[in-house]
Amino acid sequence: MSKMQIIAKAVLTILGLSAILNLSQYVSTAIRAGTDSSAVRVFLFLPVLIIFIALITYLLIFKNSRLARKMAGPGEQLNPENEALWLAASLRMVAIFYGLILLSTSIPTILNIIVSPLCIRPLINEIFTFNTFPKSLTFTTAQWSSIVYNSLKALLAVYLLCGWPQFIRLQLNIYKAESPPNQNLYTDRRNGK
Amino acid sequence: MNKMHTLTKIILSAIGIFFAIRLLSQLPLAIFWFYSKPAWETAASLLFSLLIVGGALAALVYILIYKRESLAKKIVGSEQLPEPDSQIKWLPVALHLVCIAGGIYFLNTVLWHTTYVIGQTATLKARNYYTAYAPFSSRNIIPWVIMLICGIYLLCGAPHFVRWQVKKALQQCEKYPKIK
Repeated sequence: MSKMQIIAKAVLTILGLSAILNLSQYVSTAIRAGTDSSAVRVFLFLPVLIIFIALITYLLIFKNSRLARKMAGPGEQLNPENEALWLAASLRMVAIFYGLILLSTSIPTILNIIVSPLCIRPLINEIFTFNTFPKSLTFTTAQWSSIVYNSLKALLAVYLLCGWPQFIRLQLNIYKAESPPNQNLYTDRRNGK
Repeated sequence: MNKMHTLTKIILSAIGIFFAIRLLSQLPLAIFWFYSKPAWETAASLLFSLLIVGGALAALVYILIYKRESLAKKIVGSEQLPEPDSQIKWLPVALHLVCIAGGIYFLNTVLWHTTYVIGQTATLKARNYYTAYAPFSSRNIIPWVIMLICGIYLLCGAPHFVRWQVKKALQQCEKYPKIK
C-alpha cells in the first residue's frame, strides 16, 4: 500500500467508528421510544439499525483496504516494514483525534463514574436501614439507555486516547496475514536471511 | 523551510478557518436569547457573548493564520527538519497538530457552554422566573473547569501526552515482527 492509501484506510476506520457511535445513539433512542410507542415499530427499527452497524463494521473498519485503494488511487508502494509503521502511526493518530472529540462530550460522564462510589455508600445504608430500594436508583428505560450509551462513549474515549492498542495489533496481524510471503521482510530478518 | 513546515502551516490554517466558522455559528444563539426576551439583561448577555466570541475569533485568526509560521517552526522544530518521507518522524508533528485541533475543540465547547449559560440565565432573569436551574453550581462548573484546563494543555501541544504516545507507537512497531 502507498502512504496515501494507508492514511485513507485510517480515516475510513475512524469514520466507521463514528458512524457506529451515531447509530448506537439511534438504538438508544429507539429503546427510549419503545416505552411509549408501539413495540412493533421498535422491533422493526432495531434489526435494521443492527444490520446497518454490522455492515459498517465489516466494510469500513475491517475490510476497508479495497475502498482505501480506490479512494487514494495508485501510488508509490512502501516496503512492508515502513507500511507497518505508517499503518500503526496513522491509526493511532486518528484514534487520538476522535478520542479527544469524544472526551470533550464525556467529561461529565467520567466525573459521574468517578464520584459514583461516594454516592453508593449512603444508598446501601438506606437499603439496609429501611429495607427498601432507594427511589433515586429506580431509573426509567430512557435513563438506563442514556446511562449505558454515555458510559460506553466515555470508555471508548479513554480507550482511544490510550492509543487503541488491541485494534492496531489486530490490524497489523491482518496486514501481515494478507501480505505476500515473499514481501515479509520481518520473517526473513528473524530467520537471518 | 521544508515540506513538513509547509504542510504544518496548511493544516494550522485549515484548523483556524474550521474553528472560526464554528465560532461564528455560535452568534445566532446569542442573538436568539436577546430576541426571545428583549431586556437589559439579555442585551448585556448578548454584548458579553459577542465580546467573548469576537475575542476568541480574533485570537484564533491571529495565532493560526497570521502567526502560523512561527507556530509551525515551534511544532516541527527548527534544528532538525524532518521530511515527511522519513517514516516515523512525522508522527510527533502530526500528534501535536491533532492536540492543537483537540484543544481548540475543547475551548470551543467551553465557550459555547459559557455563552449558553449566560444567555439562559439572562433570559430567566428577564422573565422573572423562579427556577431550580443553577448554572453556576459545582455540578456544572467542575466539568467546565476540567475542559478549560484540558483545552489549554492540548493547545500548548500536550508535550507529555505526545511523547508518551510516540513511545507507545514505537514500542508497538518494534513488537510487530514478533507477532505471528
